[in-house]
Amino acid sequence: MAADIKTIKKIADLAAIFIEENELEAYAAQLDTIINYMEELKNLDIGDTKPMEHILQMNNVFREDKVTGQNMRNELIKNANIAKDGYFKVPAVVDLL
Amino acid sequence: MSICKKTIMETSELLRTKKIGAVELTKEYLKNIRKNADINAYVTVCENEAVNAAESAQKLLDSEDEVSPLCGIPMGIKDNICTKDIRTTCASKMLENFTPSYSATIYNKLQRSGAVLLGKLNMDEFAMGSSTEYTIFGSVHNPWNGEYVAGGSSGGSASAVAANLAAFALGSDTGGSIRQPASFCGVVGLKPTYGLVSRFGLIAFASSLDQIGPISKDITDCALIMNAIAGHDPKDSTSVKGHASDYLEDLDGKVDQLRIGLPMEFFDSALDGDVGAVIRNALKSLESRGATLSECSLPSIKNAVPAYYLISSSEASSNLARYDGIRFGYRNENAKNIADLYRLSRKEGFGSEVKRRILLGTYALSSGYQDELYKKALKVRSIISQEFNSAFEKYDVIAAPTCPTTAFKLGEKLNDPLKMYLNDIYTVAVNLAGLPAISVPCGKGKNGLPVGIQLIGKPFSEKLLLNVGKRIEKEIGRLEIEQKEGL
Repeated sequence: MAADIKTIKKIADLAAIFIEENELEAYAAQLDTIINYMEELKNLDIGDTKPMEHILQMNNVFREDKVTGQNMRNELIKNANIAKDGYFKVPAVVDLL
Repeated sequence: MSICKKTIMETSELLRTKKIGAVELTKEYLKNIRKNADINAYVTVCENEAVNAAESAQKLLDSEDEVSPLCGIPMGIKDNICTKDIRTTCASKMLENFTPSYSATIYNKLQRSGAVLLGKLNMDEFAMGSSTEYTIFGSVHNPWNGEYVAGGSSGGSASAVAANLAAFALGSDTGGSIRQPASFCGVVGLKPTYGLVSRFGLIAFASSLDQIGPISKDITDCALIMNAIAGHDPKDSTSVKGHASDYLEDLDGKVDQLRIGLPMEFFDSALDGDVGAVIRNALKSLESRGATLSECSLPSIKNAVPAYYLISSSEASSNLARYDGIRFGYRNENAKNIADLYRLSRKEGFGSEVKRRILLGTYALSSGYQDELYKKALKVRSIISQEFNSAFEKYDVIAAPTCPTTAFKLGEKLNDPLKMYLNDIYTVAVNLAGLPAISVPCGKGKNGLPVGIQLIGKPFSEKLLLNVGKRIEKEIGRLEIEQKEGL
């Protein structure tokens, strides 16, 4: 089985998504079917082929370092659910011992 | 005939000759949207903004000698394209209350042309889906038959154009999301070459595959929209310079001497017989006008679906990491620490399909699987691209069905994600190779639902694709839905 409950728990943790215990089995079953299908690719003998990450021959694209929009704090913070005094508010980041 | 049934070209002529006013036109469309609320094409209708924009367009029409043909034309935009001060949701609980502080470059361009935004269009959440059923706003219904899906993920865009709820619409196409709904709804949908149209302001799904494109009533309109949206944008580092052209020029539908390749892998057992017959009929009409048809092969196409879903989900798992509940987007307000804030906000803010794809992508990129899954998929991508390149040495255009079937019933594939993915069998390879492709309506199946033919070209061959599409349209004609009583 490519994706069992233990694997789903691990990748959900990596992806920072909480999954309820009673949903784990359904996710495992669906992802197992999907991954088994994807694994067809494992059997292809294409070792020497160069992987293609992107279709364009990408180079760094530079522009002048010029400020175009400024003092947008109030406008940007409007989309935050919890803000205080012009700051984004978050729960404690460092755990107290 | 209702004014809303007319093409952009026809409507523009009426506006310029003062046979109709821009405000009156916009109000007609708004009325049509209300009457067809059961299609569920729109997630946000901007009545006041639309009327204001129409008033401004009318001023331009009255004062300027030369205005864009899009001036005063009502449009709809898929809800993953940012529109300043207008809610942009991606049909997700995650962005249900998100109002962008900036607009996508293409929306700015269209606004400058004088086009009028009617509202934002329904879609599969974060553009992940093939039926516009994975949306918090409820499924979109196919305007040809309400029991069927409109396709996806740009199902709102395609159904709005088919049902005359917008003169044209913008969609986005990561693995077929413009072409497949265009095919299911009987309208024209173009996925431009990767880099030809700016993606600045398009909410990212899979950045190496995503592309914005037009959905229109006919080929000429499609060319006209391309004239307005194609071109380099300094704000999008993947946008390319020097390839945009005048897509309306020489759009005469001449196809003599044209070499068309028909890849046998697209005419396989997955293809519905009825759809195949409609496609062959369209091909014959091209042949009768001097094109030559030859069978060819793109053998690695069979690996395109697994490669596509691995690559797109991997990119999505990374792109969607930005939704942490803090600066924008849904936030669980009871989380006691930062880790729970992430985990709970993402659990509650994303729908099941989005979570499945993030999990799949995380799996494919995780230690131990990256080489055998993600990297292998990138190698398949390389091979598919090479096979297309070789085919284009012999053929000018590759023609194929857009989808193996006509629209399927609502709910039919909802609980079987793999079955849903396999619906994209004929569209995903084009995105992997970054090519342009257009879906052109070419007839109806016995069930009365539209069939689209897909024309695939070399990079930046949009003009040629539009021209071949024009020939098909001349031979077969537009597919039009009977209007409801009273319209």
